[in-house]
Amino acid sequence: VQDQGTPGLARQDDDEAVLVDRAAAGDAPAFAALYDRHLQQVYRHVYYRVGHRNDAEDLSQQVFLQAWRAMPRYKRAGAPFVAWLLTIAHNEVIAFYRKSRQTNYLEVEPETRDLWSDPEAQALSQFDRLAVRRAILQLKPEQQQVVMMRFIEHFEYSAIAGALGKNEGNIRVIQHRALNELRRLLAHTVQS
Amino acid sequence: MTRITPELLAACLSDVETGRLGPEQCVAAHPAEAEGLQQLLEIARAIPAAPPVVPDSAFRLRARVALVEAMAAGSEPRVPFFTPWWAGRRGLSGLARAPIPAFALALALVLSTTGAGAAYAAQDALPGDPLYPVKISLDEVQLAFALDDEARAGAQVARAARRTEEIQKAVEAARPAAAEEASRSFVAAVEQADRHLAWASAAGKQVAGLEARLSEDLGRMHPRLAAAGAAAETRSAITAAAQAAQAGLGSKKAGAPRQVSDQKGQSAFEGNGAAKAADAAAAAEIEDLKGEIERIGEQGGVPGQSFQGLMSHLRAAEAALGRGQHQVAARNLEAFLNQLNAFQQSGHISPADYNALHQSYQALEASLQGASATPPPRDAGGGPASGGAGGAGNRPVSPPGRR
Repeated sequence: VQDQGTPGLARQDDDEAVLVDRAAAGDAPAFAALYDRHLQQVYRHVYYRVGHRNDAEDLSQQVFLQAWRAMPRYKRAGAPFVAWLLTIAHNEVIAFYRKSRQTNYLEVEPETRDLWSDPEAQALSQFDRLAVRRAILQLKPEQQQVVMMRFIEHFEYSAIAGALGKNEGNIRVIQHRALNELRRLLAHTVQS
Repeated sequence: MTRITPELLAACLSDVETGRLGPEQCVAAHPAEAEGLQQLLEIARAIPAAPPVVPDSAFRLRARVALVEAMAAGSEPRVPFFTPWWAGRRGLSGLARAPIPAFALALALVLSTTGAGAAYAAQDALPGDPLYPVKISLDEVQLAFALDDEARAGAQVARAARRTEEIQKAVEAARPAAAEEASRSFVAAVEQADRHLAWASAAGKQVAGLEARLSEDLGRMHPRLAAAGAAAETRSAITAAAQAAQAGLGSKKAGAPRQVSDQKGQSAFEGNGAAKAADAAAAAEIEDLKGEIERIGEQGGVPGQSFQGLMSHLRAAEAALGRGQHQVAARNLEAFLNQLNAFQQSGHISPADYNALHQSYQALEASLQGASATPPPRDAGGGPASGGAGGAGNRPVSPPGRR
């Protein structure tokens, strides 16, 4: 992500940990720099879950609002800052599902369907990419979160554990259950 | 088939991910679990990456402004503030004095989002230019962080000053549509400045000095507007702007002393039958507007969270009207209009939906102004900005197409 933050700030504090500490202390420009760094990743993550640009925008905005409010309580726990943002994103998406009671997030909006196509990857797989996404979104929220962070964001187990407040063993168990459930859901899809 | 443990699966996934082993090698290394392991590895490999979606610049800006609002509302900023760029302008006395640390923060954050170069370039943009929305966003941020009505009045006069420059440049560039748009925005800004001064006065503030200074500021704009030659079709709009500048604000314009309501900012119409009828009419208009949003929302024309935001502003305004708190109602309606205009500018809603909502909003505003026409005239909740947000004027516009 291109960092368009305050030039002086970017020059002086390239280290994210410094920015995070300053933001936690109430330094708004530091938080703005973190916003610039991570907005795109948060947006893409949320978009993956909701499948619509406008909803992804609204929810991404909420993520950063919530993050700013929670910054004074933020504690580094071995996880990247963006992993913490993604846990907030996860909670926002779950709340969005609950409030809106809509299931159309299982489908992506027609104008962005071609963004999901990857003929090379598709050729190597027996599964349709959108069918896999749909199956992921039918997992339990905790399983969704681990699958997203592990296989889409490519975080280490330790980082996921730190972000979710669990130990690495827990994360491996959740991952195991999630993949087994995906297998069941996809088998059902193929049969139907 | 032996049960696959979470540890075995995790180890195999890591081996494949890091390239230490291929999937086939990993499966072959665990023959008792081979079948199930192969299926799970295949599923893990089939998980699609996030598509290459990129948040557009309009959204980045909108989100940044919302973030700034939350920062300003949620806690006392703890970073040093700087003097905003316009504070040193000659003649903008109300602005220069206003306590507006949050605007400094806002400006820094907007510049950070748009890129300082874009924001700088936008300073010369005219209505219709691609960068004009950036310039208007800076106006909005400035208004959002004016902390009281006196500061807001000053911010509106500063906005009028910027419109004056635009009118001159548009005339020089032979761009009548831009000149007309800027002229309408000028008049709307002066009207809104007048309202804020009235609300401040109604709240018991001594505004005579500020009113005189801001009127003087407007008076300095008058010769520039009067001298702006223009084609006939633009002339009337610029003349209206020049007259507004010459008339000034408040009692200077009306030639009558300002009337003051109670100190708590509550309605001055308690017990006033005409005002209660106006309130009832306004409440009915709010109901209509809510119904319109629900209808559009059901058709998918207003995205979920946006729908909730618009509705929450209306509900808050409705509740405030019910309590007789017209200023609170007006604040919420102003927020509603700002959000609606932001959606319009970003293409968040369709032109047809925007125009429908804007027309309903205008009906609501007319109801509120009906209340304000009943003496005492100024603390009737006067209604939100007439085109105060987005420079769109008080009329439907043709917004950019949906993304």
